[in-house]
Amino acid sequence: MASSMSSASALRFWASRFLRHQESHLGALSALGARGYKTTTGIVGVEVDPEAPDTLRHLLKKILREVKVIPENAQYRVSVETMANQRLEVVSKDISPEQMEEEIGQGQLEELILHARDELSLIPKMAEWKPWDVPEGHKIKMVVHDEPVPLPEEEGK
Amino acid sequence: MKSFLHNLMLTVPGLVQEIHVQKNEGTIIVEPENVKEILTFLRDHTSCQYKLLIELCGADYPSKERRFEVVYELLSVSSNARIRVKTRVDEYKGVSSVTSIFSNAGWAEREAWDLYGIFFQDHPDLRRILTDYGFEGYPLRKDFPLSGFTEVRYDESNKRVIYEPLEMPQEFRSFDLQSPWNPLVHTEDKS
Repeated sequence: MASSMSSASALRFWASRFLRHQESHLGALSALGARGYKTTTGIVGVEVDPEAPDTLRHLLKKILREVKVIPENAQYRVSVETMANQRLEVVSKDISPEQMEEEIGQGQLEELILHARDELSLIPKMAEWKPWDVPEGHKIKMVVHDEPVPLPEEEGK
Repeated sequence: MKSFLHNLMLTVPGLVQEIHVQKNEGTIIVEPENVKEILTFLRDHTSCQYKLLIELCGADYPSKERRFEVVYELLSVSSNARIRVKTRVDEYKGVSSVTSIFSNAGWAEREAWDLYGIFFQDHPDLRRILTDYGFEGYPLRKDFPLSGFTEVRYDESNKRVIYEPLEMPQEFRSFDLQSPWNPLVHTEDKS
């Protein structure tokens, strides 16, 4: 029976027999090809994405398109573009996903995809709120308490 | 934390009123109208990622014009950082509910409403959570007495628990505990 299967489906068949997994892994088993032996991200609710570098690339490009509604001199747009360009540069290289994760250093690619989705949901809200528009005379008070904690007095002194 | 708050000040200057930093603990003070915006920004922006609302509580400063302070404490698991967001409100004007941003704010806002009387607009279910049914007053306000206004006893004739106005047979003794010796013996003449 096993001899009539192709090698990829044979791999899946035997992997499903011997790998201990939860229900969600059956979908992740198809990730075996693209993501090495990664069957789980280790985070509850975050599934392995077999096409993670492509998804992330697509989302980062979308961020760079969408952020254009924010004025160019706004610090928000500057920081979002810097972040997106830096991650896009790494994700566009011809390296393995694990190496991409290591170079970016902000967690797994699936987590970065979640970051990108959150940022995409935030951009239109920021365009509506315009927090960079500051009225005349608006001052932000910054109070810094940096005094060193006094050492307890030694007994006898 | 200082550099992060400095960046925050540059990114969202219109939302922030004050920033406090003390020993790596940062606090942002905002106007009540901007609470939802600042919390959404802190939750969703890539460099912030404060996904968890740890605490939502009230505080009463009766000497101030806007006596109540609502404090939101956020945690970012991925960057191992905490931040505090505070707003000042008075008794009549409320603050927007953040249940749509953090769903665990539901009960915390109910508690602040029940104990302080801070109103949360657009809250899905704002009702009492800790005080007794039919309890009047807001117990954690500074002008609410420690012993309350009513006391409870079991009425034998009616065979039920009844509420009566408070009766204190002994006047309330306040110990200042400044002296290590027994204050009842070594008291100054306070009459």
